[in-house]
Amino acid sequence: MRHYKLGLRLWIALSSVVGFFGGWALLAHSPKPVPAVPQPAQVELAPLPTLAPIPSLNDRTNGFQQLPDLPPVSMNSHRLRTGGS
Amino acid sequence: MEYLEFRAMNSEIVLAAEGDPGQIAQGFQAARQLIEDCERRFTRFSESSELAQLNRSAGAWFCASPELLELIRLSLGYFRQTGGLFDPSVLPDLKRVGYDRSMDEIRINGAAQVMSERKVMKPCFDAIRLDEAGGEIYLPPEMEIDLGGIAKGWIAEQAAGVLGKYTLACAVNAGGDLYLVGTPDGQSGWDVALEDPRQSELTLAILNVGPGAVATSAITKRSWQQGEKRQHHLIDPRCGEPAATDWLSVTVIAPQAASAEVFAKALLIAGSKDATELLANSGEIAFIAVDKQGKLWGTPDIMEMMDANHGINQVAV
Repeated sequence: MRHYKLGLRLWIALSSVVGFFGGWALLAHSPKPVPAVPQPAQVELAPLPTLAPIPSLNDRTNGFQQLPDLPPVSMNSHRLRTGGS
Repeated sequence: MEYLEFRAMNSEIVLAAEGDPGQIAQGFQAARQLIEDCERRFTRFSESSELAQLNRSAGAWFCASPELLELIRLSLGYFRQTGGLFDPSVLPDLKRVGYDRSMDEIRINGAAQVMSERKVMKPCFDAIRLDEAGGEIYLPPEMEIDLGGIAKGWIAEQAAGVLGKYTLACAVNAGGDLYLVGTPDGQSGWDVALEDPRQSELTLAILNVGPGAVATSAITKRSWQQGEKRQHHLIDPRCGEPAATDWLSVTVIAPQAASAEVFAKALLIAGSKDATELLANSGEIAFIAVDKQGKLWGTPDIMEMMDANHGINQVAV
């Protein structure tokens, strides 16, 4: 039984060492990996559009915004007039 | 353009139409009859109106006219769409702050004194039940409703529909809630004057509006003194008090009159703080608001309605 255990340990150690060096040799002699997409020597980037400036929080809220001032005038002869009911 | 002016629904009514004078006269008569009939049925200031009967029937099923059923169905839809900011069941709070009689009467005799400082506890408006097939409405016990926030625009649209049978271009203005049919001959739209809420005799802009609806709500129009407090008629359903908003008036342009009127009120109650959230669910509307400093706010498309030919600076004073 003791000889059997010793033999098994020796066999595991030897097969690990042989497997390691065998794999090393195999990978060392295999062809180098090729990139999936060939890269051109010089990449040309499309020009990016110029973005409008971000509106100030004071001027705009989502969905509505401050409008230009309109000076009120004395004119109430319009029959189609809206001012609250 | 032919005009007919008269008073109904505690407001100035203007009917406008162009075409054959004989046809227009008939159209004016039919539209006026419809407005006066609707007023009798939907006012809360007459004990014999259909609305008053509905309010008295709370706790039992009420057999309603198709028109009242339609208004309640629309109201329920807008209640949900505005997240409860449009709520016809705020009537008990409206009475509590003094609006328990017509505005004409308040202007002559003053408002009632404060009954209670506390918000009236009431069932949620959403608890109304409709039996559309049977034509019946069930108001939960202790619920009272006021259709003042939707009926005037809806009536203006119905009246414009009647008048539109006699002409290709007509308009109905019910105290600032307008419905426009077609466009005047040779024009791209109707010129609608936008009143300055700080001084009603002044005009802020002329909007060039196509067929559809325009409605304005203002906290300066129906307001009164109640004891020490200045009150107005736009109750914020969240607190049961007149809305503490930073906007004085909101004008909405929308395809339907009920939608324009409801969102004008809801946006005014929401103010600049909550308007964005409300607009996300508002559908196809444009609006312009005037704040307490006189600054204008609105959707960008409203500017397109104030073109060079109709801008206020181009109009002869």
